[in-house]
Amino acid sequence: MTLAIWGVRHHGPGCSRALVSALEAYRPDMILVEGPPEGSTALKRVLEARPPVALIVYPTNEPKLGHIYPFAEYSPEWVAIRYAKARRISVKFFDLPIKNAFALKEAAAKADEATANVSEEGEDGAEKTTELSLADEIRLDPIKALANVAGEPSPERWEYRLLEQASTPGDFFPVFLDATTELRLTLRDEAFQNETADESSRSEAPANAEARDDPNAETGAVDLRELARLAASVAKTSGGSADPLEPLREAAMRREIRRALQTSKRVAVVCGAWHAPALDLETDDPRRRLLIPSQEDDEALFRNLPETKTEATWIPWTHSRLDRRSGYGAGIESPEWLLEIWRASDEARRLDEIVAESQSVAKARRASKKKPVGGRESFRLASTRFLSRAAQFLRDDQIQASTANVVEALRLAEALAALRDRTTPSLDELREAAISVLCGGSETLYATIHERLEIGNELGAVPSDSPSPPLARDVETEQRRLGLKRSATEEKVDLDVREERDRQISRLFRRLNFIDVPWARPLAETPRAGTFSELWSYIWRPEFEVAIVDASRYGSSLVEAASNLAVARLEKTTTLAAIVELTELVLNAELNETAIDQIYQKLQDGVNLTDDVADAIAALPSLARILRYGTARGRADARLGPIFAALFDRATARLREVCVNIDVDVAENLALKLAELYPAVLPLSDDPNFKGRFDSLPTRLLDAFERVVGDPTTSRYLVGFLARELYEYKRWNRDELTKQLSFFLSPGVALDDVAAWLQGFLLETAGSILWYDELWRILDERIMSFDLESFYDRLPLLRRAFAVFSKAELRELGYVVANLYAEKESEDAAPEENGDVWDQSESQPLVQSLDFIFNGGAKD
Amino acid sequence: MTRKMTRNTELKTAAYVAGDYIREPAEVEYAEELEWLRAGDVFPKPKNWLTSPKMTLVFILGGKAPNGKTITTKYRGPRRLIELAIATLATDRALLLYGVPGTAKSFVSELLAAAISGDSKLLVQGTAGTDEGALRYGWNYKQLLTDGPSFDALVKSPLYHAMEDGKIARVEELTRIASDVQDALVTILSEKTLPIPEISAEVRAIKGFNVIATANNRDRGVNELSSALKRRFNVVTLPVPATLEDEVEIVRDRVERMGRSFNYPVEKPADAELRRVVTIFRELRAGRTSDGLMQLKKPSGTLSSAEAISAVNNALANAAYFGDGKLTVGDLAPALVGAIVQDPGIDAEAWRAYREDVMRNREGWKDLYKACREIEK
Repeated sequence: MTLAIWGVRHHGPGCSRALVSALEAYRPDMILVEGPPEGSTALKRVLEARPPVALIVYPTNEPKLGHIYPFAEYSPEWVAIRYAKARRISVKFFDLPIKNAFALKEAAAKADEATANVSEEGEDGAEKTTELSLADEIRLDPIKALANVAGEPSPERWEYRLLEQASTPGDFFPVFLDATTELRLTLRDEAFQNETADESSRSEAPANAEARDDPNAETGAVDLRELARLAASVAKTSGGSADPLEPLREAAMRREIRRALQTSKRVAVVCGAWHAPALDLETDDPRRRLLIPSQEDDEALFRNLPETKTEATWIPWTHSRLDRRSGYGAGIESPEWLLEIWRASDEARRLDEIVAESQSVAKARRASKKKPVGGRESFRLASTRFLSRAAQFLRDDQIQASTANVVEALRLAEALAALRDRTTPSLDELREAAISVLCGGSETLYATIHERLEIGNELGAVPSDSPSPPLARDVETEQRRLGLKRSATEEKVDLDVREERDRQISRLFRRLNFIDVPWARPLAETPRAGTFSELWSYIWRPEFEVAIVDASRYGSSLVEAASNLAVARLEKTTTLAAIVELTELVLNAELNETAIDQIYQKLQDGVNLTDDVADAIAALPSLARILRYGTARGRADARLGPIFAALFDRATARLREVCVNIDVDVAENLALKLAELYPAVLPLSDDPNFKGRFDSLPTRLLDAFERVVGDPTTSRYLVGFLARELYEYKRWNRDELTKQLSFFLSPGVALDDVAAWLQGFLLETAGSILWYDELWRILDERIMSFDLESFYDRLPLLRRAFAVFSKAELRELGYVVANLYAEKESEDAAPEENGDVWDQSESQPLVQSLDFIFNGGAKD
Repeated sequence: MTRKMTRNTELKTAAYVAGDYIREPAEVEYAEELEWLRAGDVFPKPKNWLTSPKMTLVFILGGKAPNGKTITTKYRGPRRLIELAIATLATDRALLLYGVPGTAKSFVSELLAAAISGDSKLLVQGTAGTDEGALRYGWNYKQLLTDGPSFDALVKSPLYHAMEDGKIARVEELTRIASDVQDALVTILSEKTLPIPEISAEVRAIKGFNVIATANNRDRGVNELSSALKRRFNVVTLPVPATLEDEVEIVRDRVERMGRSFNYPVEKPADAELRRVVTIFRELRAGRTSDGLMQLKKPSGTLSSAEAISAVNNALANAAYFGDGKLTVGDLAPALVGAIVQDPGIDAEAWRAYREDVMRNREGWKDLYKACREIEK
């Protein structure tokens, strides 16, 4: 009955190498690995998995709280598990069960709600953390901290150096054990000194008294205060952290070790280097024994420990989620580089052989008899592979990168390492050499391969029968809650987003669209301002399951995954109009704060920076819609108002710039966009929600229109269009419009200009403006005032302007004009005839002349 | 040819003393420091290097010489880039220093040559008119005509000299040299020989020979390096200064150095004033304010530290000769506008936006803002 404690660095390939040798030398019959015991059952078919994978444990009722434990191929924990499976040794996760941890957190949250007064432990803890920030750093990654003290910025290289220096593979771990033991002993001494100093001021008696008064104590529920006190005392003994969960976790690990020692002969423990000293139960050194709390103290912690129902499963993971920039980052700068140096090592090959042996006896003998390579050599191999891959990626992008260049880059990396007193190049040197030699000094070019080269985005694979990940469960729960079936036939639903349930359905549809699960699609266009009804159709397809598993790496709940993906999409968006479109999607899908913050930031930057006035104009109506529609949905955001106002200012102030020097096609596009502005801002001005902030917008918009119209360089087409707008929105009265009309139809104006003006004036009016009698009257009067000769002169222009109307529209227009006359005549003739229907025979000549005008039919 | 002319100039100016030159080459200006560094230099060094790579690093970035004397900081920038440059030279690959104008490329190249070879004067200035002779060798035509081609009739280029003596040669503004002329470097860099077909001979480079070239990022299009040549160079891109403090230091350092050399009768500019100038340059260059809260329009110029230095110098000269010997915002404003607004369109707009959106609202900048506004009226 012996015990081996191997404190490792999570994701440290050097530790993995040492671990393989240590395992081979020690030949344990039981391996305990740091990790949640809930995951132990998931270990069954681990050899079928291909890392990177992650173990996820989550409360059944609230999957989004799930804890994620990512493993890379070179993670020591993964190495230990693979070894155990291959050698058929029993292996177990032996951390504190997550079900307790979750329940404790929940209870603590409830307690916080119940009693507002923060316990003194809280303050105490805060004080300690500031004091012991170095200790915290060490606690997080003792090996890295030691490497830094030794002047080595790359912990991987330091691990490897130590490995070289260790005379036997087993010597590697005791070095760290010694170091962390000393550290924890120091912390322990400090804790005890503080204790004696504080004893007079802080008596523990009241806490005890309170504990006894606590009604929970009798009901058998957990007494958090008491638990915290017990945990603190255990932590004090073991020189551990003030974080209340850590002593519990370590106590749980000790409990498992004690059990294992009773059943197994040779127990091996693989845990974080920080925990190792507190788990070394079998040590003979009396000083080290000080760090081990008694079994009774440990057991006391587990009394009445609450539990939550949890589930665990494997999900495919990616290296990109191991890197330090992402949310679940394991603090690794370059997962691919670590993979390279691990794969280049002898131990990695040895482990592969062991696994292969276990799977087929025949393969075993085929095992390569390669010469073992030292750490330095393996680093060189890894460096070469790294730089070759860099060259490969560059070539993939059609950028020249020769083999000679790879050689030169390797030489440069090694010279650099030598200049920096380093035995072998590490990531820094390789990166610099790659930039300098392979990328011609361009960091921008390197940035294009950085992701593929250093991080990698291959998705791992999990055993086929792994239960579904929390994201899938979250989606399922939502679907069930809202009573939506995964039906393979298309169904339709009409939603009123003012209803809470309908709004949630709409939200679910939209969120799923963000994670590339286009289950539902809107049938009608996005609702315009003031419309609350949404029509959707939905149909479930099996590939959605795969998409959901794939999206799991972006979050364990739907809202989180959708938000992360929205942010990713945002980064690729450039035009303002596109950003605004995305904003609308994000707000309607009610994504999380991070996504919303980012999108506002991007919107703000876009507004500040845009030089494209047309883009700004295109963005305004949708932004106005979001502003107003969002308000109606009860999600107005104070930030949007100023952004909208700024964009509006810019667009109107610089409107003139885009209205000059453009041809008719561009002008028409612009006019169509401008046409949306007034209807968009008008509702904002009388919306009481904005407390009058936007009252002046319609006026200012018309001011801007007027300025542009008055500018002699403005495109004639737009002058015509804006003149109509100004009249339509009552800025101009009849006289002013008549003035405009006469001005542009006056003799001496170039024919093209007149045509453009008329086209602009009549743009898209077939539907609506047809009925504006007033406009026709003005136009009519103007035309009527021509003498016959000038009428013929202008006839081609009129034809051109009216050419945009279809036959049917022209016919309708004919009736309007005819009515115009009839009414006029009937008014004039009222005293005599009193007829209110126009007379066919009387208007016959009119119809003929209209035909002449429109079709030129009567000309000859 | 080049060499000969240098000798002539030396003769002509022999009567002058050290202080009369506008500037001295690095190996003269920093002769004392180099001596200290070489005295206790126990670190391994490539053959024919006068200073080891380690001590060269100290020479450029500053630190302590083995005898404990302080070595001044000559280049303020990322240590790793200088390490990369030195490591490149140690692997006998040629070094190409890239960067926007005013990022101390030539200065770093001069310092490297001074430390490694003790001679920074083996220099070819690249222009559109640089011919092959300037890179390889020319002929003394009198001798060529009387005696025919021979070693004696050769006029050696700086590169030729560097190869013979195992020293560093410098090529400035490499991308300004016509492409076919650039290619003359390929053989020199890859084979380390310089064939002289006229007399069936070749010059083989002695160990220690290497080339440092500089090129302007913005010139990339002028005469882009052929890929054959590019492969022979390791490229180090020198950045604009990373932090405000670094840049203020650089500007102060250079301004004082130049002030000494021109003997302006003027007080040293106040630190706060320098910080403001540098802040303006940095913010416009980056296109965002230093607090990262506001994005700005970028002017067309590079707005390098060198331009900030010349703006301050300009203002100083103004204060010295036309003012009361004290640097005021009135001297600074025209210098700033002159340095930043180079294109009346984009730059003027960017500057106006910066002035109105940033300077006007910044605490303690009222005076400068007013002065800037004033001159535009």
